[in-house]
Amino acid sequence: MPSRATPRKPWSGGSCSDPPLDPAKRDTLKKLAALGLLALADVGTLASCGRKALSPTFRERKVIVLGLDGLDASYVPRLMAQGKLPNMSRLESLGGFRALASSIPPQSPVAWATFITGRDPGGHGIYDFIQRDPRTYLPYLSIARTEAPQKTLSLGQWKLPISKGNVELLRGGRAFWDVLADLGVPAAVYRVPSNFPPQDTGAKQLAGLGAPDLRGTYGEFSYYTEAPPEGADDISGGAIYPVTVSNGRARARLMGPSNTLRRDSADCYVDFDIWVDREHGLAKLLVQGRELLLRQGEWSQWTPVRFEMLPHVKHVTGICRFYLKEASPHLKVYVTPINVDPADPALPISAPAEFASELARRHGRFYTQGFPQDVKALRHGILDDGEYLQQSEIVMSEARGMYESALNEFSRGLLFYYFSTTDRTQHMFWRTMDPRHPAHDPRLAAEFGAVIEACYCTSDELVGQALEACDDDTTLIVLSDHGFAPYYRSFNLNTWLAEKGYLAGRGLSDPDASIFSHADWYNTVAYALGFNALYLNLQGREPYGIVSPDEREALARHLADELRRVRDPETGDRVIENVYLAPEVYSDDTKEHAPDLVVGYARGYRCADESVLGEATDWLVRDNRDKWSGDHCIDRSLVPGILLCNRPIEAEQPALPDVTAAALSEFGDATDFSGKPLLRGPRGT
Amino acid sequence: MGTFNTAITRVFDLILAPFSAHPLPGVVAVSLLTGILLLLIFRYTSNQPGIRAAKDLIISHLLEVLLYRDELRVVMRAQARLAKDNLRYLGHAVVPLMFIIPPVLVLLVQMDLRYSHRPLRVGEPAILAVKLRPGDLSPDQVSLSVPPGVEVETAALRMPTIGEVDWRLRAEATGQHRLVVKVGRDEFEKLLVVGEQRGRVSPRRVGTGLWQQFLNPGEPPLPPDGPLAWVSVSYSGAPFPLFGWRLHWIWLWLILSMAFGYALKGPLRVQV
Repeated sequence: MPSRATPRKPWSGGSCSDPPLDPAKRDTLKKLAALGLLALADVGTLASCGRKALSPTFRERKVIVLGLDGLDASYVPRLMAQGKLPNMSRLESLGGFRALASSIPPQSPVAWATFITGRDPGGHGIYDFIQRDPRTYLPYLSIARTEAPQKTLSLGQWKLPISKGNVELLRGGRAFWDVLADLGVPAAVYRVPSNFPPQDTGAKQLAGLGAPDLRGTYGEFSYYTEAPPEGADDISGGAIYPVTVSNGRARARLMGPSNTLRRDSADCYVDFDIWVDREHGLAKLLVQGRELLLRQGEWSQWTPVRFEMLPHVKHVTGICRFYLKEASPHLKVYVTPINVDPADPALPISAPAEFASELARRHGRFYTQGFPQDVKALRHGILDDGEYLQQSEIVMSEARGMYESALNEFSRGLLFYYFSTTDRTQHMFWRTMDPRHPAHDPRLAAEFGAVIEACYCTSDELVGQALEACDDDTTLIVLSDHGFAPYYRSFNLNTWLAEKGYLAGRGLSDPDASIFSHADWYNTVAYALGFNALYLNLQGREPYGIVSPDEREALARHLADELRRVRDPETGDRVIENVYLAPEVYSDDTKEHAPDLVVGYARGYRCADESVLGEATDWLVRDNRDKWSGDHCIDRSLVPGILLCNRPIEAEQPALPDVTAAALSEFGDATDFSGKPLLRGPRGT
Repeated sequence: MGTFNTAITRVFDLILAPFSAHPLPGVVAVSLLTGILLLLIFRYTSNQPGIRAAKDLIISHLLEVLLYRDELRVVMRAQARLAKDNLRYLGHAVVPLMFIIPPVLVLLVQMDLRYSHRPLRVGEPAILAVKLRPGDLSPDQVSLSVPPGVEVETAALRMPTIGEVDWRLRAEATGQHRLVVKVGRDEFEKLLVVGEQRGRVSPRRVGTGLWQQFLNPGEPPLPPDGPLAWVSVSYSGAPFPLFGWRLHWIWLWLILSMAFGYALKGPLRVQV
């Protein structure tokens, strides 16, 4: 056991007079209190269920909610003024336009969960893309958790499940479409983030951000090449496989999910052949009897791939697209992450379960992973800018086909459709339109400088299609969850904590070390994990916690004050705009996985990737030369989203929960939601 | 074999002509005919009294086992006789099986020609593959010309080590398009079927080899002394949607023909 030293406590204003409550008891009491509150909330919810029947006035109502991730509240008016967004301008003239306050922090999973439930993160429990398990200090993805079967029977190399595994949605609170379902209002919800796995409560739902690929990740590409790039082993978000072409033929292996039926959980795989004709720039791929003939620079259609888990007994099917990046001089084939096959889903990507296969039957197979644009492949140079845009266009075109069909069939109730392309495009192409950006390249700017604007124009077309589908009984709400800002400089919060003595340990900046493996928890008072979250090493919550509950608030305030004063050593600019204390911004801060502080960075700054996963570095602030060049994980006041509606908007400064309440009040019931309905006047186009 | 294939294919065209609108009634009708045909073959080629006698003996031995289950010697003797009479019963099926296999093979091949694949849809891509016979010919000597209504999307992909040349085509108009593969001065046709209507779809045109020709009856065989081993088009499979499942036609045929056979063995007075 490491020795336990007395930590420095620069925040402590005085001595603690009362003996601290036993952490275990306090924890239990808190859990009981939380359970009690939850129970009361549930009773309230249950009481409301069936309390109201939908009045005839509301029965034929229609509400279309169009979610456009990342549309910025300052850029939209600018383009509208230039006449480049005619449909949004028309929508504004019919009703109104407002900047929409995002969540704290302004991250998509958090913000959309806020809109879905009408509650702040304290209510729905999603505080960041990545949260930490206080028992282990280790990160997990905040939206969903997958559990393997608890009971298995071992037979030789096999491990046969006796009990069922589980995929659990970690988002708490009640989705507003569930309230509508209780009222008998039909609802269809497509691709909305923080909704995996969708709960089968009556609404038709297709999962969005949070839905994994078949390997259980947010998306891992495969890349087969005769010329592996430097540092191929260090690439995250995908795998690079060297191949050798002999007599015009290469043999390759496509890795699938872990075989949970094997004791060693070895990955399933499928071998495939590639025939190359270098002279004509062609390749033929033979995958499980399917033949794909591709020209250089061409994408294949979706190809089903069957992974045998227990031969002739159990298999899972995934789908992928192949891209022939180069046939000559070197063979280079990119394969998308293996998506869950919507025609035969191995994971619960829709509710009801058959909704995904119904969509696949009608529209063909489609991307089912929640984060379909392969930003990792672009960041690592596996796909170049043009190739990434082609892939993004495939994503958009699939989503758009389904959207048009959903609009055509919409007759009453709620239609909620979400598009992610605006967000991803701004993340990846900000550098091309902003000469101040460290990754700005005038040559690329000439070619791709208008990509973001074009993406906004495409969003405008989507709004136009929704307007076309509106009649006098239809309310159209267009919203984004946050806006966007440049990401010029990376700030490593864990480095700052280590420099200031809040995070202790040796070798914290070792990039090869596993997360926090070098941390000295007995001398650590605070640590950072995730994009905006800061945690105290709290007694009774963390296993090696040293901050007593009585010191918690004082320490949090002290840290917040110090952080607000942080200046960029190179430019002298303020790095952090604001720091929020969880009890002051979250309605329920008792959840053990909630952060203690939320750091709102200044415009141009963001938490460094290394710090997001707990790593300190030997630098504190540095230029961001990555292609990931725009961001929104900063202070929420700096990146408001947008709200457009075909009815007048009363509120001057609406927030996400108000839009939830507004959507519900169209059907006469927003009483159980915290937001204030914000629409007035007659509906119509 | 070519003449035989043509004649049989015409017969099946006639039989299935009334069911051309939808494949399901066709499979049901063929299953019914199969059930009747197999029963009749069985009836006239098998030893019906022998089968009846073997079945009676099997039943009597089963009863023996049940009634005398406390007497081990009797049970053991009954078990031995049960095995012997089972073998005798199976032996009675050998001769009719010899008569059943050929027509069933013909039927399966013809069904495969109609129900295993669907025509290309307009806008759908497919791969045309040409396989050369082993010899001195190089894939570079192979070229392709297509009629209006078909677009060749790629240059020829040549695989010299296996003597194969592939193109990717895209169907642009419905109809039966004749693709022409040129090898030197020789020309060879391959039919490409495009449309929504189900019908005969021949994925592969083959050359020599009676068995290969028998299995691919949709088009006349390639010249036996020509340079091509086969020419194929990668049509999509055409499973039957049934109660939420997508079944290969053979399962449907198997289940239905057995069900019809079982239902009709009484009226046709066949001992099976």
